[in-house]
Amino acid sequence: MDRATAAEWMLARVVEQSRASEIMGDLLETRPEQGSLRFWLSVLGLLISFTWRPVVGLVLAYFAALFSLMFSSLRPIMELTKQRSHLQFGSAGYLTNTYWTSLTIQLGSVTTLLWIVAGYAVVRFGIRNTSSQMSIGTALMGTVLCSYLWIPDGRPALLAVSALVAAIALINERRRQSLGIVLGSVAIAWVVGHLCPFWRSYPETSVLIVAILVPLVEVVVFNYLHTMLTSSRDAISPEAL
Amino acid sequence: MYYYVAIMTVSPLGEFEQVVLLAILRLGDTAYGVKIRNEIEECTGRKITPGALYTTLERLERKSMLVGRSGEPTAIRGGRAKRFYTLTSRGRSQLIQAQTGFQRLLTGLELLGGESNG
Repeated sequence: MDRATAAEWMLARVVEQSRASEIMGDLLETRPEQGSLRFWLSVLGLLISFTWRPVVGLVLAYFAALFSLMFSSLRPIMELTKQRSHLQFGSAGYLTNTYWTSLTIQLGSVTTLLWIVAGYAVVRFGIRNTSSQMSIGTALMGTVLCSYLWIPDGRPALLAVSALVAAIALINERRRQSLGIVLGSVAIAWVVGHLCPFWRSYPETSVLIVAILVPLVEVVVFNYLHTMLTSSRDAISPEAL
Repeated sequence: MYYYVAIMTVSPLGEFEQVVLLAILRLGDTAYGVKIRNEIEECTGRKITPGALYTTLERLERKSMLVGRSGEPTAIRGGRAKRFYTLTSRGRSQLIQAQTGFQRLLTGLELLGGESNG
């Protein structure tokens, strides 16, 4: 196997075969007599160009999950702990209704999943992409709800504002579809996290496995749904070409 | 399978995307990777990495702004075919929209050769 065929095979792992062949042909035409080192450096540059976004996006998704756990998801848990200690000493504090607190904790886990999608989408598809914008918007909304939903005084106003923002965002068909992509990947990741067979059998290692597996599954599903749905949405009829 | 576009509002073109589309328009029917890259380098003086060009071409094709067709394989390319690119009507209208914005901003300014534009 000559170096061009080997390089084309490597490129075909990250792009379509026809594009890999086109790129390799262009590379041979431009620099027919370049040395091995320069040739492989060019190939490496091309491989990095086509793969850096998903890889960096995945890394950012993990950091986004950590950020969410620290600043949104843990907040209601801390408040619940505080409430329990208050109750012991005869003070109910803010959290007189633990239903809302439990709901907020569940919302915290969903918000973490939303931040994972947001972190990945921003790098993979760019900030101008509708799916990126919808994932950031929903993650921010989830964070605000997690932080303040447990306070009874502000709850109606917060829910009303959230519903209004959601209604305005969903007027546009493109945004509705993007929201479907985001929520679809979050739902699948949530189910995977809860059905993970290691969860109950091996509690010591299960947290780590779920922490690695769930974001990975989520970004793969998001990538698949986004590519599948937006490519059919953006495809145009031959007559319109 | 093809679908008609329900909504024609797409994300605005980036600066490099516009450069690539303009280069393809200038080259006409002979626009393929090597020529596009040379055209951009000659016109703008910018050094273009292959990675930047091919990821942009792939993205524009995915967004249906470009359409590619294969040419004949040649010996200099190791028996590999060229891929020629043409703008679609969507690509053309997006480019016109983006360039019209620039033209409006230039109107009344004397940046090009001391003569006002528009």
